[in-house]
Order: sequence, then structure tokens, then C-alpha cells
Amino acid sequence: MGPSGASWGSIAYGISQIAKERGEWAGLPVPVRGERIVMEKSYPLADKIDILNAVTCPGGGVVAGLSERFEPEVIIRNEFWSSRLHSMVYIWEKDGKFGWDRAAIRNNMTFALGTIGASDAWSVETELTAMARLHSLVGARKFRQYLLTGSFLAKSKRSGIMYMFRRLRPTVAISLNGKTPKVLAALCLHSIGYYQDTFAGVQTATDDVIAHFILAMGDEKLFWRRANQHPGYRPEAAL
Amino acid sequence: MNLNKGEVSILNVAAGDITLSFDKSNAAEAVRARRIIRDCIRRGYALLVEVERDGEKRFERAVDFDDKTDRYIIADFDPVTAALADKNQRAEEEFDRAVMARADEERRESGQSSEVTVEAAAPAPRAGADTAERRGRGRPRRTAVDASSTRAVAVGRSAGG
Repeated sequence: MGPSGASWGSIAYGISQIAKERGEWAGLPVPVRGERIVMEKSYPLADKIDILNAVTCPGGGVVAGLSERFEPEVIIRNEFWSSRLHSMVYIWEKDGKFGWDRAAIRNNMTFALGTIGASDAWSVETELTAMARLHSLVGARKFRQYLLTGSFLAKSKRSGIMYMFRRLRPTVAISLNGKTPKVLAALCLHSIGYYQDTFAGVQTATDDVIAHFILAMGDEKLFWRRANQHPGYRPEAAL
Repeated sequence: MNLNKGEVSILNVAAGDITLSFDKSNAAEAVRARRIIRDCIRRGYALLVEVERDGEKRFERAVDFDDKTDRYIIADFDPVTAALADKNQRAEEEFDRAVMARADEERRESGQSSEVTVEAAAPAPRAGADTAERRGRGRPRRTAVDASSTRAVAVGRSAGG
């Protein structure tokens, strides 16, 4: 149940009706308590998303995901990934003084737990619709692999890169040049928006897979340009 | 729920997808589809259209939509042509390296200097190479595909991840 006793289904339905009236063909994201939404910047209402995030995830602070929430007057001056600490490190400034802090440990488990929470935004019917659509696009064999393992492989004719498309995980780009296969990057892309620090997009899991597959096979350069390219050692890559 | 010819699927948050149809027997639906497709392209959606090349079907991105003729406009990228151009270029580079190596070896054997004149360093292209491809592909050609005879998928702009 959502806030005020309304079911998530009815909340999602209401938002979809609003989206239809406004002519938002891809819909609008469904807020989930405890999860922050990151929206594509040019999408309508993207500039209002922080207001919504303050309601669903109060006390979010300047940068969500930090072990301690910073006050608004704290300025983040720099950030980088530390392989030794296996977390993001932030250099901050407050009242002319500098300090540093590390983000809470983020690994596959934290992302996976957040993804379970974000799944309240989806409906089973929507996911089944997307799976049927995926089946019509990739064919029986690949769909069978997807259904049974949560992933399937497809090779780009343009670049020769092998892609492993995964449900609720970034797509893995694998180079087959050389003696052994080599992971080039994990490509993360969510149409419209996603729930921060999770593997969940605002669209259902299989809709994300469809988007990845269609873009990788149809316009590979655009796919790489629009996706976040995570190195294999980062928790976001889920490898 | 198959995606049939003449249909466009727009990936949607709540509905899974919205399906539009360019069925010529339903004029109202075709008008609606035209309007939405134009709007999607204007907003930066990626519109991937299924095309057939050399008997093989694949998806390619539509860069525009002609609503007078209901045709998707696709930049004509042919991976076979591009691959052939890349292969020819690699073959020529390998040939150049082989010639240079042979020339260096001959000079060492004869005790001559290893300096190479500009003329000797630029051999003629290998016979059979498609030199037209090496001059660059130029502006890509565009192909128009009838919307009622193919299927397409529209994906909204990405927020990364």
C-alpha cells in the first residue's frame, strides 16, 4: 500500500492518466517511498523531481547515498572513486573549511535491496506485456534464454562486440578480439529515469532490456553515447 | 502480444508500451500515429525501424518522419560496405608495412642507410582495394521506409544509470 492507503496500482494508474493527458508518450515515473528518482534532464517535470524526492526520501541532503546526510550549505568540491576504500570519496567545503568523507559502502547487495524496494513502482501486467514484446523482437531462442537465465547474448554486426543483455543489470559489452573475451564496459541506460542506487529504471525490467537491445542493434553509437559506461570493477557494473 | 507490421511501440512506464498503427483502413488512428511520431522525434526519442537488407531484418534508427507520405527517413548505414572499407584500409596498411620492412631488410643487407625517401615510403594502393571507400564515406544517404509496411520501437531519452 502506498501513502494514504492507496494501492501502488492505483497510484501508478493515476500518474499514467496524467501522463496521457499531458501527451507524455513514455509516461511519468511512479514515486516510491524510500527511493530517489533521477530523471533525464530534458524530460518534462525533471526540474520538479527534487520536490518529489524530498517527500519520498526525506533528509536526502546534497548528495544522496552518503553515509551521513550533508546540510544544504555544504558544498561538494570534488568526488572520485577509491579502489582501496571501494567507495566514492567526497571532498567538501563548509564555512571555508575543507574535509572529506566516503560514501556508504555500495555493492551488489545494496543495489539489489534497493531494486526490490523500487519494484513497487511496476505492475506484473506491465512486465508481462514487455516480455511479450521482447519475444516478438528477439525470437524464440533468445527469449527462452532470457526467461530461463535472465539474460541473452547478441552480437553487433557493425562492431563485432558481443552484448550480454541482462534483466535488472547493466548490459555487458564484450570484445571478442584477442585470445580471450574481454569485458569492455557495463552499459547502464534507463529510459526517462531510474531509482538512485538501484538497478531499477522507472520502466519495468524487460522494457529496459528492450531499450538496450534495440539501441545496441539499431544505433550502437547512440547506445554507447547515452549509456553510463561502468568499468567492470565498480559495483554499478554488477559483475 | 506481437509487434506487427505498420505498428509502432513506444516504451511506456505504466502501460509497458503504447502501440500506434499506420493501418490505412483506420484514418483517425493514422493521424494520431503521425502526430505522436513527429512529437517523439522532436523530443529526442530514438525511433528504431525494422528494415530488410540482403534478406536480413534488423533495426535502424529513423532520423526523421515524412508525415505527407508516412515514411520513416533512415540514414543509409550499410555495415557490409563499412566493413569492406575498413578491411581494405587494413589490408593496405599491412601491405605498406610489409613493403617498408622488406625495403629496410634489403638496405641492411646491402649496407645502405636505413633512411627512406618519401617516394619509397608511399607505395601504390594494393590492387583490388576500393580506393573510393578510402576517400571517406561523405554524407550518408537516406532511405525512406513506408511506415505501414514495417514495425518500429520508440525509446525515450536516457537518464543514464
